[in-house]
Amino acid sequence: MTGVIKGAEGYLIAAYLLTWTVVLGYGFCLFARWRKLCKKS
Amino acid sequence: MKKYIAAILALGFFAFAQWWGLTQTPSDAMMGAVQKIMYAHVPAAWNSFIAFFVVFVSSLLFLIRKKIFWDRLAASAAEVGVALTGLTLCLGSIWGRPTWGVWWTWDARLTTTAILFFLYVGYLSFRKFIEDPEKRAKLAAPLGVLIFLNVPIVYMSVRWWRTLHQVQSSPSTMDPAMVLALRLNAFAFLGLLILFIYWRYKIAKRKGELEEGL
Repeated sequence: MTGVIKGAEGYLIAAYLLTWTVVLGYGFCLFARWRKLCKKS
Repeated sequence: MKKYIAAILALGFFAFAQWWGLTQTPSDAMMGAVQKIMYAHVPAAWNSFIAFFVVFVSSLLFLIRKKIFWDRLAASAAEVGVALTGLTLCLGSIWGRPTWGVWWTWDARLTTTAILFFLYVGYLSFRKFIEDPEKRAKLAAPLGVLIFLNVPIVYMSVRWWRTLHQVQSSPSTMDPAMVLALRLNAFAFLGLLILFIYWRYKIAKRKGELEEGL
């Protein structure tokens, strides 16, 4: 592993987990709201 | 099935771009592996600016043409922009802790971005307070134009006030592998931005139809 900062992989994992949580979470909420509203007559 | 294809393509490309950024790029000489947060942080920031530009243009077009389509588009883009700005701030904070030693500092870029986030949260809250769709659109449009003024301030903040956040990198100062990964992720986020604005617009349109009793 290169770089002056060692042992910071946890921050990298946390950042990518957060990114995927936001993308999938927000995306799913939007999709579910869209589907729910489309079913309403 | 057709309506799922766009979502599958956007998510698939996003997964590919994220994998590419994590595994196919060199680690930074100074920051090491943690620098790879850049492939999520920077594209999220760029795309939040695009979302807010959509709010600006849509608000302007509503003021000119008075069509409810533009108001709904502005509201949709604002919500997606807020989600991306929130993500940008959180990722920046996670990146700042191992590199700067702090989760947050009152640096010019960080402060102006936080102001940007709260301005658009305010814009969305303001819309919630007005029930009449026409009145809401008429009052929200000038606000959507006005608050966009902060976007160029955020962009230029690293040049105008030299504090902690680094100035914008250019392809000439970066490893070509990093440039490619950054561009891939920028387009991947753009795909998701378009998809999310489209879904959010559909929700706004359907809600409007239900309110009107159509």
